[in-house]
Amino acid sequence: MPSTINGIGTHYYGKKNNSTRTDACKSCGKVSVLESYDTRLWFVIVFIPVIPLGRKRIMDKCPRCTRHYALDLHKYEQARQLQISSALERFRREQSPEAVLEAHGQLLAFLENDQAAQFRATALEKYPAHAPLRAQLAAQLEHAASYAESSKLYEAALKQDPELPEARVGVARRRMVEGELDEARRLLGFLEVPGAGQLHAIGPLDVLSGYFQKAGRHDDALALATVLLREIPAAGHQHAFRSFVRRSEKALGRFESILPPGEHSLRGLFRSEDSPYPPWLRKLVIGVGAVALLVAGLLINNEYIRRHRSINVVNACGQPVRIQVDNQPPVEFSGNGLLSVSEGRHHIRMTGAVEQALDVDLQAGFFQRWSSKPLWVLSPGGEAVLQESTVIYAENPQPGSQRLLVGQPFVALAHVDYPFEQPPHQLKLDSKGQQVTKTAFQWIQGLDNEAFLQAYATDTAGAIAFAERRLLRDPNNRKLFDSYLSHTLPQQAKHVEELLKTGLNRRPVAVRWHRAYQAVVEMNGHQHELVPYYDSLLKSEPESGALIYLRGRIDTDWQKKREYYQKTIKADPKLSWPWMGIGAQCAAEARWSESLINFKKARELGADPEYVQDGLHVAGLATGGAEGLAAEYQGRLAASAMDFAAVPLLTDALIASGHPERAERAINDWAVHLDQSIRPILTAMMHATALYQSGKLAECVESCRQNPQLNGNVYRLQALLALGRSQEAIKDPAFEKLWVGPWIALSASLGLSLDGKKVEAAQWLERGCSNLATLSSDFRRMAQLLRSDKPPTVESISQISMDAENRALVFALLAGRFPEKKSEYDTAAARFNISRKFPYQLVQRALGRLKPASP
Amino acid sequence: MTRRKFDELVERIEARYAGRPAALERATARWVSLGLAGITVWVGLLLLLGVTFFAAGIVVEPPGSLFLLGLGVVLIISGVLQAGVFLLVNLELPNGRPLKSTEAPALWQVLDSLRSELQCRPLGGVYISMDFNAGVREIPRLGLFGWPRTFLEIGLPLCVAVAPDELRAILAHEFGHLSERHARSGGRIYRINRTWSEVFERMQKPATSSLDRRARWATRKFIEWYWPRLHARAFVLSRAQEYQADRLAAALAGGAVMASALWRLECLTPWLSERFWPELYREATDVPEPPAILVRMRSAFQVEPAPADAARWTARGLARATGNDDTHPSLRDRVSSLGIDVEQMGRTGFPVPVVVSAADVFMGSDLRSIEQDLTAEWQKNNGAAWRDRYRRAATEARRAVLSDMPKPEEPALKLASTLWESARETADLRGLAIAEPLLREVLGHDPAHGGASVLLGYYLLTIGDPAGETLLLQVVERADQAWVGQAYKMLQDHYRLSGATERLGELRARHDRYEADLTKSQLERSRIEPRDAFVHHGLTHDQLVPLRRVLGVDNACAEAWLVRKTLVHFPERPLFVLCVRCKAQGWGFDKVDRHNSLTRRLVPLVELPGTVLVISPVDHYRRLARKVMAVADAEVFRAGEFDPESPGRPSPSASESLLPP
Repeated sequence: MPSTINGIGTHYYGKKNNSTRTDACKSCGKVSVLESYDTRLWFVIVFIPVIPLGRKRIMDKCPRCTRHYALDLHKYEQARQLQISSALERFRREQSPEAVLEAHGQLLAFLENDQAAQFRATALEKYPAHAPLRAQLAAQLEHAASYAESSKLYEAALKQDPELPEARVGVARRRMVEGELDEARRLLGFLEVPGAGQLHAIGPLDVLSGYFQKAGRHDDALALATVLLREIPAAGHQHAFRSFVRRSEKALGRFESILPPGEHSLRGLFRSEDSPYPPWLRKLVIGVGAVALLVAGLLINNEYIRRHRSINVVNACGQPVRIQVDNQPPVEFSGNGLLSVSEGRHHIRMTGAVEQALDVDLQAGFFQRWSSKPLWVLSPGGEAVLQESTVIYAENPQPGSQRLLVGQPFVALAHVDYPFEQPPHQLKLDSKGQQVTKTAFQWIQGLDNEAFLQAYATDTAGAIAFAERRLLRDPNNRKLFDSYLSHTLPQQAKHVEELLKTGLNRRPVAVRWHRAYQAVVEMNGHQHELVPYYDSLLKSEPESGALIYLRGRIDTDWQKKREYYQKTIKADPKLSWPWMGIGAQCAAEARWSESLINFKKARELGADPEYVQDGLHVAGLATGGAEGLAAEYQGRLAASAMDFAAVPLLTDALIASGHPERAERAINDWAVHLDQSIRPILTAMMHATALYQSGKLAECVESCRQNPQLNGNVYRLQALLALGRSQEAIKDPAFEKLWVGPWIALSASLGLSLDGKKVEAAQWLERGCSNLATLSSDFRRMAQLLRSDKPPTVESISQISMDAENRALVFALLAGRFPEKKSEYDTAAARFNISRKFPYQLVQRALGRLKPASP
Repeated sequence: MTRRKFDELVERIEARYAGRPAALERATARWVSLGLAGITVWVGLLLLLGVTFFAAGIVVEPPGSLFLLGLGVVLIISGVLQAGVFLLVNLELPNGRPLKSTEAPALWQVLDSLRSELQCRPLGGVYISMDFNAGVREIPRLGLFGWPRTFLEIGLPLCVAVAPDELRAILAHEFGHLSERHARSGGRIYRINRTWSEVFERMQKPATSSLDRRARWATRKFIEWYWPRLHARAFVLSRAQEYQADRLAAALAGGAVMASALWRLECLTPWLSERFWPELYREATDVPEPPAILVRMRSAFQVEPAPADAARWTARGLARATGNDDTHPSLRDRVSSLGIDVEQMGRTGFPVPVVVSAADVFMGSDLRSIEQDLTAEWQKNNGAAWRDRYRRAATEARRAVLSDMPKPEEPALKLASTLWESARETADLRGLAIAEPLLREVLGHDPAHGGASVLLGYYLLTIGDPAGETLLLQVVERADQAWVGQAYKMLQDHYRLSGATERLGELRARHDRYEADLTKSQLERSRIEPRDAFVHHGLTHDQLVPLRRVLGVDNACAEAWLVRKTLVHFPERPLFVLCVRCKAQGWGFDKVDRHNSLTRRLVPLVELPGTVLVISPVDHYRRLARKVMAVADAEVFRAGEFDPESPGRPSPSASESLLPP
């Protein structure tokens, strides 16, 4: 049958040579007017006929179910002509009643009803007294549903031969329809004689008995049923017949049945026809069997699912882990994989890269086994970064949520739509307003630091545990290491020390790890243990450049420190650390040219740019290399717009070289390369920085105030302090979190001091010193010097490691506290106040080089 | 498989397993198993697929599991239902009246003695029927799973016709089948037959899909290959088993007695079919109720047939050859295998009626009640048919008196047709002997009348007149489709009964060729295409007159061409193609419709001595029409050149136009 989808497909168009007949549809079984006609089949697009696919003869199209036969029109036409012609030719040749019937039958079969009527009339003229021929023609017409015509012929045949069985049956059928049941029974009387079933089809008696029953004449119905039972004893075992007889017997109130005892046979259940069982029982048995089988299958399926659960193993250790579940043999996993277990409690033991034991419980409800996709994830050591996310699909979807799971060795989720796979970008929804939420679960690799930072906000302990495990696995993960230290110090210094201690013996010596260790030990106040410890290490490894360097950097003697660095260079010329140390010493003494040379050497040897960047910048500016630095920073930004650290350095260099207008342009040029999502905030931040650097402090304050995200910015704070609005600054709650930084607190002290708030300035000085004292021994010493009632020497300040701008701040503070040495301190402050990084403008104000704004 | 090939196959099997009945039985059992395997494979495939999907549904997670489980359940249920329908074949009990254990003690005694002598299992029941035969059947209680019950069916006419020792020999023969478990293999073959019949029955229903059609095609191909091969083996096996049972019976009852029983059956069988039953049913034309059949039969058995009939039937019995249409070997072969000279036995002539029949001896006083029951049953079963014959005879008599009797002034064809109706009814009601003059009259008017030739030919063969063979061979020669099948069958029976095995083989081969040609002819005649070859129509001027009249009357017809398709098979039944062209009219946009309309008008009117296809040179038939028109002298009509009133001559205007200026 032709069909279309959204107007595309095949379709009939046109209708010729129609003919209809009333008969039962062979598909739906309903009696209706069946139509036959010629048409053409088309390939259609939007129901417009495009390509003709051939002419068809549609046969017996049912108006109810539209089912029909479709024949090739030309083949049909040829077959029609040839078969009819052949039958008519046989009739002309033989002139026999058999030939009449064949030709008539062919004409009716091809629905040539008019031609059949003409032919019939001609044939009957040839055989005017042939009753059987009339009856058989009538039977053909009856088969072709021409009931009126067939009735006439039956009547005529009966008139010619009142005993002709075919005619009697044919007329009896008419009488039944007309309600003349007695007349019908009289005509069918020959079927009631014993043995009639051996000669004739006694179906008409069955039909007549049905008419009797419908008319309420149950006696007659039962009488005929008795005849039927006598002629066809097997009918007594057919359900349809038995129920028919029982209905009449019940209506008559008969207790004795004419039916034989019922038989039960297995085979009867398999037969749809002549079954001893009612159709509903047969269907019920089959249906119950099918349902039982299906239910059994579902139960087995449920049990199979229960017994064959999978634990997804995500081994992020980088080394194989052997996992043993209960008493089963251990399985080794190097990456991710699956462990097949049944639901329930299990003891999992992990060995190898991770030594861990867990008791896990895998549970799912009976129906949830079909409706949900639970996920169980085993992450040895909790080292895998796992992300659970929800994705919302809608016409205008809201952003989904994401959750990073770190440090959890076992994760159980009730349902995950896309486990360890990317959810699709699009999903077809049923309606326009529908919204579908799906869950996904993934293993995020190579983003340890980001995972730590994200998880720290929600699960601090878990995040720290995760970071420690990852750092123990990979101590060279610099970003994570720095993030870890910055988030744990100084609050958890003791804990961090313990962790770091575990990595001290690792070889080759991880200098960064040792430096952190040294810092944490100092933070914890037992730095006196460091020198003996490193001496002992050096004793066992006297040629280790790294150990010599590390020993040197904790020496309190400025000169000895230099000597150690020199020894380090000799022991290991490729080590960048001693060059950096010497560069820092030079910078502390304002020997900028030497500092620049050493920092450059350190950079050549592969020192971390982050460590040498400030030293190079300050030394470069101090030695008049601002133009060169600007060019260098522009090159860095051209290579990577995401090198955010280069932007304030570039603007500093441009302003220092006397081109503040280029700073603004440089920021704008850089901003165009940024992603839209981060561009506004980063651009605003850099503009605020540039405004501070160029001394446009009021504009800087205003710029930050207008942007809520920059309201608590440190540049705004520094600008306020430099503008003489220290009271406003210290009272602004937006800056609350900044006061933890000792240099910020000391800046506030300087600002208050310059604004004449001596008492408050002293309080903030103490606050800054307190904060400093928690950081390192150098800073503790610095705090002591700042608290001291005696003015410290410039040299003593110089022998404490710190950034140039902080050193300038210290000298500015000392100048305020000890007016008798103000000139000396101011000179020192001016030597170190080079980079326009805060608190540059505040120090400039202290030095009298900046006019404070009126309050 | 053709008859010829089937015969050759039977010969090959006989040669291969000669003297190795056990091997033959094993081979047949293997073929039966193959047939069963065909069904089992289909059902098994369904079940296997069902179980596979079901198992897949168990291990797959939802929602796929539900779909797979559902599919699996549907296939499994379907497989189980089909297994139930195909494999749980219900075997019917034997016909007849059950013989009670209290009845006919002498018969039971004989049966018990034979059973114990041949070490057979106890009988599940004995049925007395109206057949002139005896037989055993095994019916398994558990269908395919076996546990058979054995039933013995004994025909009372047989018991009445034979002597007690002859019946004992016949029963010993049947117990011989039981003893050697022949009935079991027969039952297996019967069951496989029923199973495949069930498949056939289902294949008669319209196909529901292309997959269904392919499955039916594959099934049909398998059956076409398998069925003759199984039957050939079953055939040879049955014959071998008959010999085996004969030998066992001869050992128990004596070879001479067994041979005597076979001889009596051989002679009485044609007597019954050609004499007793026709004469009995002839009575139905005068008597409205059926007679007491067994009384009539008993007395008829006591009357010796006419010497000529007796000589013909004995000669036929001795001459009958073993054919491949009957599982029982010929009398000659069976008696010879018992070591008895069949010629000498033939010289004893038609068996003398028994003085005391086996029925009298073995059934004793119970015979009367058994006879009454069977007679009543026979009368009940045949009463309607008897009365119908009586009615038809009366109708025929009335028709003869009233109107439909042939009138000499009618055309010969019509006359023959009317006479044939009467002859056929007479033959059916009163027998061929009385219908003979009518049949000859039919042939007098229409010598090629197929029906009359066949009936008369058959009658002449039964009375030993060789002219019957000539008549039947003429029907075969003419390939009269309505009657040729019967003619072949009658000739084959005749050749087998007369022992003309060579002519039988030739005729069977000819029958094969005819059927093959008929199939090809049906295909050849079912379509006409441009690639077919066409020749001149070959009709005379007079034969074309009616056609030209029809064409001339239709004003739309401009030209017509008539050709005949070149046929390879049965070219004597011509197939014409008539191509008609419409007169040009208007712009010609409706040319196709006008041509189609013309052909539809002409189709019922055109009458030619053969099948005809009417086409027009437009639309689909363009290429075919070009080819038709290209045939030399194919043009049979041109408007204006033929006068519809006098189509035999050119119209005046056309004549004028044809005249030279």
